[in-house]
Amino acid sequence: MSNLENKVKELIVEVLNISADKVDDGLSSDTIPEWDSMGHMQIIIKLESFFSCDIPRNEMAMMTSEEAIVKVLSKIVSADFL
Amino acid sequence: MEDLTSIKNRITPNNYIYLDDFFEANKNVFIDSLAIEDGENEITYGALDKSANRLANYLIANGCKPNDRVGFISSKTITGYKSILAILKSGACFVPISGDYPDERILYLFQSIKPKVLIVEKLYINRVQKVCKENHLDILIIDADGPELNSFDGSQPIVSDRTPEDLAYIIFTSGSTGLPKGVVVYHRNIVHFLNNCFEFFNLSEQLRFAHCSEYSFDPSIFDIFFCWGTGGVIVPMNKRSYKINPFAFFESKAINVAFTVPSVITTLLRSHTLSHSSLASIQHLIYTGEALPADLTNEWRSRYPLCQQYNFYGTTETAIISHWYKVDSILDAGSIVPVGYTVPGVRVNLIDDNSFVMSGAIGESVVCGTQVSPGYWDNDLETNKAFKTISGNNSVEYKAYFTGDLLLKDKGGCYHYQGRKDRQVKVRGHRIELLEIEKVMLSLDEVEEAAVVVVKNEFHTDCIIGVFSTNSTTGIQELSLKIIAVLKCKLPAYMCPVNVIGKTTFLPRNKNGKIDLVKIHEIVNGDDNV
Repeated sequence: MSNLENKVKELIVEVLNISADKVDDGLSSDTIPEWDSMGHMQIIIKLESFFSCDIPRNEMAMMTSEEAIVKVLSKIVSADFL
Repeated sequence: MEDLTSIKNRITPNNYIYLDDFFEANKNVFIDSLAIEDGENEITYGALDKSANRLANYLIANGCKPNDRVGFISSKTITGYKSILAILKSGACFVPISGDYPDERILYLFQSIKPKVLIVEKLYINRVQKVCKENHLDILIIDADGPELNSFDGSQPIVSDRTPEDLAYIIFTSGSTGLPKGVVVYHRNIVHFLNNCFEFFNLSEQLRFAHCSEYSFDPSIFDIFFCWGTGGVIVPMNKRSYKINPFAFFESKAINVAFTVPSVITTLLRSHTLSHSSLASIQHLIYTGEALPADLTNEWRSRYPLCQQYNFYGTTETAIISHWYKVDSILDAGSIVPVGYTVPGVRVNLIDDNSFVMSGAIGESVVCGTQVSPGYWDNDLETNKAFKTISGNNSVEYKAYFTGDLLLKDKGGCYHYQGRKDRQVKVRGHRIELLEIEKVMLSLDEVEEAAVVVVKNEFHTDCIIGVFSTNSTTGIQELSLKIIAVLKCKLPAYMCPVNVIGKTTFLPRNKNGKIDLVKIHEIVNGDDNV
């Protein structure tokens, strides 16, 4: 796992307060009940603040899984996180 | 494609009496057509009929009869739709219970409705059995897809002694006393609305209906039964990711009819997917549950001029919809789309200070007529508060539902929503009594006062925020986490505040001694964590 992948997982788990037994490789809004539309907004706010970036509006709605988030962020965050 | 007129000639919609008639009258006409399409899983009218008959015969064999309550807990899958249909076929009343509710709320609903049977999708069976066992509830729990159903007959069950005043369903909504209220709906109430829909819509048969709402949100009843009443296919929007990214649903499902909260379409707009060609399949777009900005309908109309848009307004207590409005033109930028005209057979009076108000003035919407529910399940106190007898101009007395909604009727007879009389709010289509949330916060010994408000976050999305005062020695941060944990245990996720803010001083009060909600908004807006 890259630094970015690790950090994204860590932030999702923190924001949604997911219990350790539910944390697996592919976190997704379809499998994590806490990841509803409000949880999603909280994740986006946390990501923008942690990575000091502006996530494009047209990408936000697509970022419904850990994998999709990493894909978007890898294009816009500082190289230090990659 | 066949025009709806031909269906009307064949099945005479005005003769429908029971909610299940919308399926029964069409099942043989469309026997080999799809009734539900859920990704890889699909089922025809004929197969669904047989499968639901087996479950209905099983229910009847276990003593279910008209007016018995049958709870069901299921996702929006073939199993869920089959369960609703089977309950109605048995003559009983269905009560949707969300598997996402916390155990405590599920237990309360079981204790309140005293179900004869619970139909539960496999996914939730262990949890439901545990809740019942721990609380000594002796309720028959059925796996809707269990092997025991195979021994039951797939032929049409015979139910006698039905009347249009039998319970069709009970849907629970947020209650200001701190507990949810179950709105009782008779077959007569809901069938009146759905029969009117045939006249109102000019749609073809066998269209693809998106089922966007949860079962416990009553637009579902339209999505399911009006769809079957016109030989259509239910296409469930049943992944959580679809709520965040509705485009993922619409782009692949070729939807023709969508009945949804405006925020779903706003999300499409914000994600720059509104002009995608896949949305052109939508012929009827019905908004409900939230104020509808004219800018949104104008934007949609400019891209899809052939799509008919509607604004629907109503309450569960008035069988989903009491007012409807066809958006036939470009409306003034920045305005809110009217809620429209009353559904035929629905009578609305606007009342202020115990007097009827004239056109052009604002009053509480008081609804009479066939669609008005008999009241709340096993809750005379709340029923007597909201359902009263009023005298009309001709001195005839009517049973009326006092909605708490403030409306204005213009000179053309068109109604416009003006807000609420009380502190009920709608957040993303969910009806929420803020008092219910405050009561849960106050149930903690450490909380002295509590106030809950709704504010917009930086994405212009409504967020629920709680504010409390305490003189406890527990740290504010620690107490806030404890309050959030308790809220999550007692309330559905959509009712839980995203944040609670603690104060060691008393909350501000206004001149009447009530908590000053304007100042609470100021506290919330000044908090960096909102």
